[in-house]
Amino acid sequence: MATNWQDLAKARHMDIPKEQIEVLTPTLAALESAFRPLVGALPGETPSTIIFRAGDPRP
Amino acid sequence: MTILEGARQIRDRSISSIQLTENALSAISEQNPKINAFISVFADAARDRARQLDSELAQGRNRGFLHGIPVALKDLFHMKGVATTGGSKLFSGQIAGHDSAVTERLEAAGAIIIGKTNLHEMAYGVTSSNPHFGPVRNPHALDRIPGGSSGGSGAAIAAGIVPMAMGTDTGGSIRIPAAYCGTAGIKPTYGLVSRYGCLPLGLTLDHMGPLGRTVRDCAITLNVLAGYDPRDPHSDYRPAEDYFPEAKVDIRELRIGWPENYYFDSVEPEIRSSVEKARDAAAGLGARIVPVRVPDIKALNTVSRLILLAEASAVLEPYLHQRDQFGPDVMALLDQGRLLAATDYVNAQRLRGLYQQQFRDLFEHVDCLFTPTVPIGAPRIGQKTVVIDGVEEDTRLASTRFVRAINVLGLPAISIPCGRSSEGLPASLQIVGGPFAERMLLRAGAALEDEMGLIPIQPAK
Repeated sequence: MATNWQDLAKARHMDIPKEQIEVLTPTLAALESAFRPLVGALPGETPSTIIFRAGDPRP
Repeated sequence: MTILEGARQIRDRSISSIQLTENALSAISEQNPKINAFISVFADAARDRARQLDSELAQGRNRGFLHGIPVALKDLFHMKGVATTGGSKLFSGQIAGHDSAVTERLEAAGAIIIGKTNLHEMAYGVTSSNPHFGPVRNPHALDRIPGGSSGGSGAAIAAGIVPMAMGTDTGGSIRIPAAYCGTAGIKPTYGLVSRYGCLPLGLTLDHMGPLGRTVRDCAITLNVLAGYDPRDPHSDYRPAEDYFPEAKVDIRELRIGWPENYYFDSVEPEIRSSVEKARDAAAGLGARIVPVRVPDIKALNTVSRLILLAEASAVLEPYLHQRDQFGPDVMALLDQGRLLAATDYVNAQRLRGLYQQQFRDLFEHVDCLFTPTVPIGAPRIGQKTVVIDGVEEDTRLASTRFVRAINVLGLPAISIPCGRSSEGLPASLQIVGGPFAERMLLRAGAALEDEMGLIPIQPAK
């Protein structure tokens, strides 16, 4: 289901003007529709590329 | 003049650093009112430093190729005692308390930082039509953009003011201005050049690198910049290499991947034929052309856009309530980033790894890829859309669609000029390599540059 960006901004108390969200909606919708299928095909065991290390990894 | 020519003349005493500096300052006085490439110029400091470097040379100390050469820094790098504006009024009054790693290394190598270049606001865009400092104009056609975000750096080189100016590249910001201005430019592998002391935009996408008059000027600069820096958590431990290509580069062993999908699907015909000429020139030098199918670049661009939208909005969140301090295009991107879900950002980072593996597999079969850097010649200032093959496309998305994916992969890529359109606008070739393949890219670029020649500098008239 497509995101309702106006409702989202309102629920998160964002100070983005309504007219601005109207302008951005087609771009965000296009991004979402391109991105969602990629996530749908993502294998569950895929790690993130952001790596956190507790210690210094230098050899 | 290139860095190499300047260095030779300084070494044989046919020119001094103070003369080179005066030449650069005169060129700025004459041309900057037309191209608006510089936000700040350090005339007195540059002269003092030039005299000091001339004196060092007289005492027998030569720091290398960059000794006494005037260069410029994109106004995103800290330089102690000087404001780092980031092309934004928000930071105009903030004086840097320390140098960036790039500033430190350039100065230690004897470069003279003559000024800081104009850019797209916060390095977040491709036009360099800065709402606070005015638009940078392309020296090849003053009604055209120089590309961005490192637009002032590209314009300063194309106009012949400096042979090298530093850029940053989060989604093409070194390669796009290099392409539109007809200069060389290299985005090194993620982690090769320290990001310490540079204003961030995309926390996992930002890369630092030079735009240069020639490929060899980029190599000279990369030799100075590359290397581990503990102050940058993303910095790589790999020992530095010598990136400078030999005088006669042999590329007969090179396997060049020629994409059969995506990269030539929607390209202006003159750009396509220029890139094909570069391919043919490489083949003429003995390189092997290997047709390849590249992974899903469109999907990678989606992943890259999502990561950048989220990271840039996170970085600039403390300032987002000052909406009137941002230009409308940058504000629109920042608003988009705030609306994205955290889960989408995390999943974009997971997808990134999958595509990285696909590219590793590709580079088992070829050494590099040849692609256009951008599908079009430099658009006009204020031109919001471009038309390619009868299809209208957003100028920013058209300018970034061949370069953005390379940032999300962290791979090195070089842009070199490979021709000019009938309107006189530069066309450029992008060469992409596997991780830390800079030496191969610079050798291939130098071989082609030697074969095809440079685009002449274009002092703004």
